[in-house]
Amino acid sequence: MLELSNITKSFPGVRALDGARFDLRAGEVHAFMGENGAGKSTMMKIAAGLFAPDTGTIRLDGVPVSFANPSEAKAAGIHTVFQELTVLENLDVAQNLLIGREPALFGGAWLDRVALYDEAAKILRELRIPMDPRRMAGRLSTGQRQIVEIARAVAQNPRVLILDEPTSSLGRHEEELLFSLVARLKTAGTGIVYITHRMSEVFALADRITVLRDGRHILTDDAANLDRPALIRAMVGRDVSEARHEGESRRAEVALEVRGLERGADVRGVDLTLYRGEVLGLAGLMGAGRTELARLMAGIDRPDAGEMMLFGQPYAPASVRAAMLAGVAYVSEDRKGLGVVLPLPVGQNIALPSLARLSRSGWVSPARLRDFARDWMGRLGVRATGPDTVVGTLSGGNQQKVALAKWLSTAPRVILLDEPTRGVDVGAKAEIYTLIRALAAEGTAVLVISSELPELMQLCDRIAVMAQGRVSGDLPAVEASETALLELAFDESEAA
Amino acid sequence: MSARSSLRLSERMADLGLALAIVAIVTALLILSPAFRDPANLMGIGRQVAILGIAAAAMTFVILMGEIDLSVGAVASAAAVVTALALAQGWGVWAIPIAILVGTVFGLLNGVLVVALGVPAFIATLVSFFLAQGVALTLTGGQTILFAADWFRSLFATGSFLGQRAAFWWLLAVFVLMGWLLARTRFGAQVRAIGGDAEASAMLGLPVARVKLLVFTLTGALMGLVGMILIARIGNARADGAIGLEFDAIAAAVIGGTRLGGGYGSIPRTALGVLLIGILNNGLAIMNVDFNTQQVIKGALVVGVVLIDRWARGKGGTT
Repeated sequence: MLELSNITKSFPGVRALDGARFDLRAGEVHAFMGENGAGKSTMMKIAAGLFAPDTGTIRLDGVPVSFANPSEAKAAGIHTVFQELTVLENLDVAQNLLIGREPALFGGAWLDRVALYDEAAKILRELRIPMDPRRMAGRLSTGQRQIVEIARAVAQNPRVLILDEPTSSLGRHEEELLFSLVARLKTAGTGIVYITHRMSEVFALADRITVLRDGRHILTDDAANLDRPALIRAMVGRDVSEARHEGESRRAEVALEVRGLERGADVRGVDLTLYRGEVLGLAGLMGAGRTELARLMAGIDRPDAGEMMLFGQPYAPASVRAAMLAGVAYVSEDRKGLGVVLPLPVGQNIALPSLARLSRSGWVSPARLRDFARDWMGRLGVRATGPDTVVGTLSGGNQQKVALAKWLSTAPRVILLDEPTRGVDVGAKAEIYTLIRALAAEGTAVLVISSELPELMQLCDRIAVMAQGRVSGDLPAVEASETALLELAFDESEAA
Repeated sequence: MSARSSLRLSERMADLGLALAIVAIVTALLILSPAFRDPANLMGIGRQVAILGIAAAAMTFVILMGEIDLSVGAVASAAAVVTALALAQGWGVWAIPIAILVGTVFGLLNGVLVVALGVPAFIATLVSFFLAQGVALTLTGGQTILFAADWFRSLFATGSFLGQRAAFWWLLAVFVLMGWLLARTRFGAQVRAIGGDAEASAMLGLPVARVKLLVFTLTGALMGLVGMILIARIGNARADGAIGLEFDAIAAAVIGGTRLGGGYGSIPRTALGVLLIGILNNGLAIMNVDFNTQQVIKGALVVGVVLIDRWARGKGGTT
């Protein structure tokens, strides 16, 4: 019914899709799988009219089509529930459900309020969703918003329904609601694309499975012909056994201990221990709650429940500044957003968290600042003309080194690195690894969040894996394999 | 559950608070000032707030949509100058479409800069501000433009109908029009959705660009009307006639609970904000409070309302 073939799509610096294909039959649930960044979401955004492919064709019932925008895709019967929620918080449930097609007279010149709420109530009743149509969406839980999102698409009797990780924020009850909706749509002949990371759902729901890796089509087969190991193999694609860090995990002194930490739907009871002098990797799929956990440790967000101990002392940072003073530094994954100030020179960036130490009664001596910066640039091998070079003009790797230098210069006892090598070339990567190892050797406790499993296996002493807001297990790096780590990442045993 | 319902309650309180503030101020003024009590004075408030009210109604749309328009005062001034010149040249009724045209052109310019070129509204409308000021100053050469057209003055400001001046009726018409557009049309629903989350609205297939363009253009057209009322009231035009109107309009919209950043606001609430500022201006002026003190009081009022709004919407910190 819907067929995407030979799709290529590049973004600046990345080739997201490289000759990928996908086909969907009426009345089937087709699971679409792959690792983070494999190109699943990009592919579906092309089907939904949000992106135009660079090359390739889309056929609907055998006829080539092209969608200039989401409205055109919708008009053709293709509806999408995006991973990024599009429920508008400032509108109520009914307005959200019927957005863009509100019941109205005179071609939209007079909205029929009564009909709006009647129709919304009817949709909710038919889909057996217990929800007040007048409730403001801003007051719904994330899971409930997801349900509104799904109901909005289902209510339009789609021919094709694309669900992009629909269960990522659903509770048990809402999940059952979703599954029954999917079953009903299927019998009505709707073709359903189901993107998910949860293996059990795939085998419970899917008729066929397609796996994408690095933007390429890897396999399409009946779900009955596949099993979990085969799928993981297809997604990983290699039996990687690269060089590992050779070293015993030093577990002498506990640096940071986390017990029962919770925040919203993202962090749901995390227990984790980070030892002095170790590099602990934190693996997990997108949305597993890794960054959210690091933000709690770094004092950016406050936990709802649970406690943290830093070298045996209770640790509850009220701000990034408090965390910094306690000796915990966080280098964010979003370099441009939080890590470095792009328009400022290297020197000022590095000195930023240390300004108090570098200043006398509020006055900063430019000479002292430069010396300080030069010292750190040397230690980290930042390649820039000097401390006055603007950070924005440096390469990604050097920007990352500046971000690192900035926090290392505060002499942290615990350092949290979120995707420290994202967008960094191979050479700079190796340098950053060496730096991280040297830090640990000096006794710093290092937590590294990374979506690249080979990187974690190469760099870390130990790797903990998060799944759905919890730590599902940890392994010494020497024993870890990508397959074992992915098994843990897909873990859903705690769902009960 | 109880926390949620109490939140909702406190939101109502914010609405109520605004109405109460008006009642309190009016009561105080009624007691304190015999001149304020004078029915003629009270009737006059309606026409005094006409210019502010129309600008605030337009500004409510713009802010609700998550944008800002700093050009309204300058555009209204430019429209006023052009119209006065047209009237002085004896162009008669043609002055009216010309006024609307001048406003529309600047509004369209704002819209195109924001939508097509991706210029932030703050910058784009600042550009229009300077452009409109440039046009007005060039045309007037710094002089006051006089014109004689009693029919025009009567139509837009001084004429009396059912005991109220024409300016008031224009204000009422604009409030009804804008209130209907926002609350009762698909266009209004789209404005609100875009203000809630423009990116999500685009993903939902709403015509984001078109709606933004329309709102900026409509605002410009209404500034043409404001320009006409302005000169009709005083009988002459100056290049700086309505400068500063942008800030009063933003203040009135914000006092009425329109949230900077978009998504929340309504025309009836903005009307309350306009009324509050109008009564305050009138009362303070009539009691001979000096102009600078008036400004301080207005500023304090805006801060107070914003703080109450923050508190009412919960301590979650998400705006």
